Amino acid sequence: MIELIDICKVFRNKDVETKALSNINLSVADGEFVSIMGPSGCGKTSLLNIIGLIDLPSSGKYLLDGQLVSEVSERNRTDIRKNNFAFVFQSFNLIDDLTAWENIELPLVYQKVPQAERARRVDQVMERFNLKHRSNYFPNELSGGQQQSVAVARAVIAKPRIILADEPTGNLDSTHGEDIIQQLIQLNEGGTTIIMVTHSMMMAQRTQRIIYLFDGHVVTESYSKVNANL
Amino acid sequence: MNSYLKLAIRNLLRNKEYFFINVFGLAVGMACAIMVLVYIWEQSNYDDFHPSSDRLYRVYIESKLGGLESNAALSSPMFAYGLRPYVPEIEQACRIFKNDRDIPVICPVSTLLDSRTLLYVDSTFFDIFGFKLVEGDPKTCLSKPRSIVLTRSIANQLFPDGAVGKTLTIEDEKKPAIGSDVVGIPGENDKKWNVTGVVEDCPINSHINYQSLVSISSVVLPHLLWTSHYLYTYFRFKDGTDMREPAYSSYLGLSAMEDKLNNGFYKEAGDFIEKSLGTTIEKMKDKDEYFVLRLQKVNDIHLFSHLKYETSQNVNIQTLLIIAGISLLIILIACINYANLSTARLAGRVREIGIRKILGSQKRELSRQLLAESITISFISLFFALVIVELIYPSTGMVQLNPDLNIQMLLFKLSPVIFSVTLFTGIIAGIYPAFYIIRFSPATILRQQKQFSAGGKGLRGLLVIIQFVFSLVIIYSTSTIYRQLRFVQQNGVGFQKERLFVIQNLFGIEDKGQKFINKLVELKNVEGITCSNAVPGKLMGMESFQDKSDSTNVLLMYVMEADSMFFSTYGMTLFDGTFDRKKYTSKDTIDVIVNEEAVKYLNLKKPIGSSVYRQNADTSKSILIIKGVVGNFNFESLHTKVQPLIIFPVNPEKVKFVSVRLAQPVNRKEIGRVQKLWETVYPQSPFSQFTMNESLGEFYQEEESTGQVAVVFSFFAIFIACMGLYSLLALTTIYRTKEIGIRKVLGAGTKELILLLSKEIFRLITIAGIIALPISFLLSYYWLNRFAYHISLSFTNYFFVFIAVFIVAVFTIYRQLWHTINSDPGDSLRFE
Repeated sequence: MIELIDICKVFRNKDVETKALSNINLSVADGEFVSIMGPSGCGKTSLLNIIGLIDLPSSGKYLLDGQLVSEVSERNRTDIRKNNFAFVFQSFNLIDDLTAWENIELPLVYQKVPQAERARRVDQVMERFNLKHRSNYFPNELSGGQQQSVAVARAVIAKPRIILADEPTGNLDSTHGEDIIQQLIQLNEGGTTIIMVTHSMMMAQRTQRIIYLFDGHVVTESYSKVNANL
Repeated sequence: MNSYLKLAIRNLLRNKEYFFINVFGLAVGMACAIMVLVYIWEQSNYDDFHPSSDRLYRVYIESKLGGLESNAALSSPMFAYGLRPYVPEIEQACRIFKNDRDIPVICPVSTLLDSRTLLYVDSTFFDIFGFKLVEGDPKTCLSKPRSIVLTRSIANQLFPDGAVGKTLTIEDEKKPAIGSDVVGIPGENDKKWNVTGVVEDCPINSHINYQSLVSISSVVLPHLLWTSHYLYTYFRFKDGTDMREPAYSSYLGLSAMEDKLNNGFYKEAGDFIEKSLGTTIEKMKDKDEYFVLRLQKVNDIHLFSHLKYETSQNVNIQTLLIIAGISLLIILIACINYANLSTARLAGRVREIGIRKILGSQKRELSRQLLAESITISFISLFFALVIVELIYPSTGMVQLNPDLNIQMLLFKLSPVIFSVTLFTGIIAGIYPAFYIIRFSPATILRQQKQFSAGGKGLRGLLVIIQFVFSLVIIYSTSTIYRQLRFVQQNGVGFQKERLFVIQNLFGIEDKGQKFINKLVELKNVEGITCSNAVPGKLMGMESFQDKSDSTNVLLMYVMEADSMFFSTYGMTLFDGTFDRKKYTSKDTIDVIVNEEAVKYLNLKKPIGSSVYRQNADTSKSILIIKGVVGNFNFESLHTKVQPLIIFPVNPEKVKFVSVRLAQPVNRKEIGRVQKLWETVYPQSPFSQFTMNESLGEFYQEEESTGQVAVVFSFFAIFIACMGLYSLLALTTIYRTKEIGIRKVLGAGTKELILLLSKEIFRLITIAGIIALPISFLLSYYWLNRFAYHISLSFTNYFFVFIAVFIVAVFTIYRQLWHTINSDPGDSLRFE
């Protein structure tokens, strides 16, 4: 499903060149739950952004379902992103001026889902994530856990094939962190492919495969207990 | 101070785009303010060079006779000395007789000296006025007949080795006809004028314009009557005279001085008034009519006087105030834009400011730093503003500077004001960002960076609305001015003014004149020729008439004399009638043609064959038989309604104009051909002509220059409004960069994002469009009301203006929008 071949990413700032990713080769199969680990600055978020077509690689090939997507235009990337991916961020990235309900509704607006259908699906998802009573709240009126729940709800509303989560529990306490990981596991069990960047070994061990990055290189891959149990 | 400046420059250079926009925005605003400053300075310094200018007054006449109101700058030649015994406060008097209106003077001394630019003045001229006499004795140079004072430039051309003591020979074409309205030279045998002085060229900031000055005793003034008004009278009052003291009678709000003048005038001229107008002052008062002498300060003439027969084109003080107000608004808006952009830029600098605060920077130091930045920008902008002024100033048509005063010198002269304006601009522009940012605690700054840019969103929106309202109003008003000017140029005059040109400087068409006309008729392309003593726009006089022979009812009507070809040559509609050319000599019965307005004014049901009576100066009366009615045509500007007019058959001796209708548009070649013909007949006389289009265009000089200024302001206004828009969008995108990233990640396409970002801006412009509509219409309505004939207000035109502004706004934001929307969402998300 996802295949990265010799992916490199270089950031340039004036005379300074920073190599964030070096010759990454990676495959993720349909329905997998993969975590990416590594120290700060090792390129985890850069890798996730490239997989989610938020950023383009500096070199290398990225094939999604066999189709080369690393060289498509921004317009086409938007379409591919819209139809395949959803994102969950460490800092939630909710829009401050929209209520919880409106934030969740947003992806459906961009997919041009009719309004009645949108309302039905948003209500359904809010119910499922136990957010119904907070639907008219603005992000700054919600707790961190509730904000991340809204972010996850927003991620799943459009029924994406792949969820890319960038340290989704990083800003949360352990209880709320656990809630979020449970939600992700349930989604994966429902068939959604999930790639999660995390610092927490405990969280990573709940996924099927762990990829370790160091200085922009994949240093090792391991299959967790979850996978072993399968 | 040094460190503030260093930091300011470093901060400004770090973000070159903002720096450029800030500097350019302020520079445009300041350029506008400087130009208006120069303009106002020039306009308000008219006639301030005369000694004792606070005691120097001109006499003018306010009258309402036969229902017609008239205020004219002219007065009788008798006033200057005849009224002095009645007003002992008068210290000195001077008369100026300008030859370009009623009465030709035979003095074609050379082609350099156009007789119409000579002023015939009393010997007191240099005592009263501050014009600089370079050579000659100011007391005596104009005291003897046949004395001429040349301007320096003419003197240099005519007599490079010194002019004083030289003579000019006058071609004595025609013997003086004393008592007629042709002015002659006294002393038939003496054809020499003595150059008795050289005066500096006339300064631009003078309401009196001259090329040369001739003693008034050199000419025989016609109609030495108290009721014959054809020259200008100036009085200097004694020091300490209270000019504001009101008259005891409070009649028409006259001042005590004016009351004394009028008492003298009524005593001296009572009989003349009764004879010539057929009424008395008392009878006028009973009918709520009047004829009074007024005084106006010479200093005030340029800005406040709008009389008939002004010596030069004056300026409307209201227009000046509006221009000043608009420029103040433009610079304020430029300051607001600067503040907006700076606040937007602060969003990227809050961390720096927070850290500075944590490290112990005082609020005062921070605000000083930000103020230093804005003042630095302000002074950099001043440099560019001066460059803009230098570049575009000559093309604005705002001011004609004196030749000895160039723009650089003027700017230098005004430098203290310009310096203050620049400092003030810097402070005003910098004060908002300076105090906005420092009121927050360091923790707040570091924790909630984005809220800084969000603050004042409503206020900024309001400012954008104000700027666009302003732009729309000024652009629509400019378009109204130009539509009206086009209207007055193309329509509504009641005759065909195209292909028509007029030869002036004729003093009757006997002998040589008739020869000239006979040759003119033979020229190719000449379709029609007509002789008259007046043409539309020039030299129409007024006379009083009675509807019955024994009536005391005064009817004031315009008069002119023309031959029977006048109507066909001008393409006027003549309903009926023709002139009997022989009858012009008859004093008792004269055939006349009246215009439609006169028919209304005289209340005639069957005008043809009706009679009107004219009181002659010798108490006899002439019967005027109306032989025809001509369709109304504008012989004055379209500012006023068509007035009643009586057209007499022309006396060949009084012909002053020959109008020529060509078969094709008037061009140099055709005029050159006529000029050649003229020179063969009048080898010594300068050939002078004007096209009817040019002549009528002179009526609208003020509107033309207002239009030119309005165009400049329109550009400034739209430019500054777009700057405002740009800064708002800059702020919006900075504030929403992350949101844009999130939306992109969630699948928003270019279209959705453009809509998202531009929606608010277009909403603001639309609101501005709705608010600007009534304001534009109201202003245009008031402006158009100065014309008796004008265009109607147009919604379509407003719509086009709105669309044009909208398109400019789209172009302004397009690049920035495109850049933001096409940036990688990864960059946007990293923004935080």
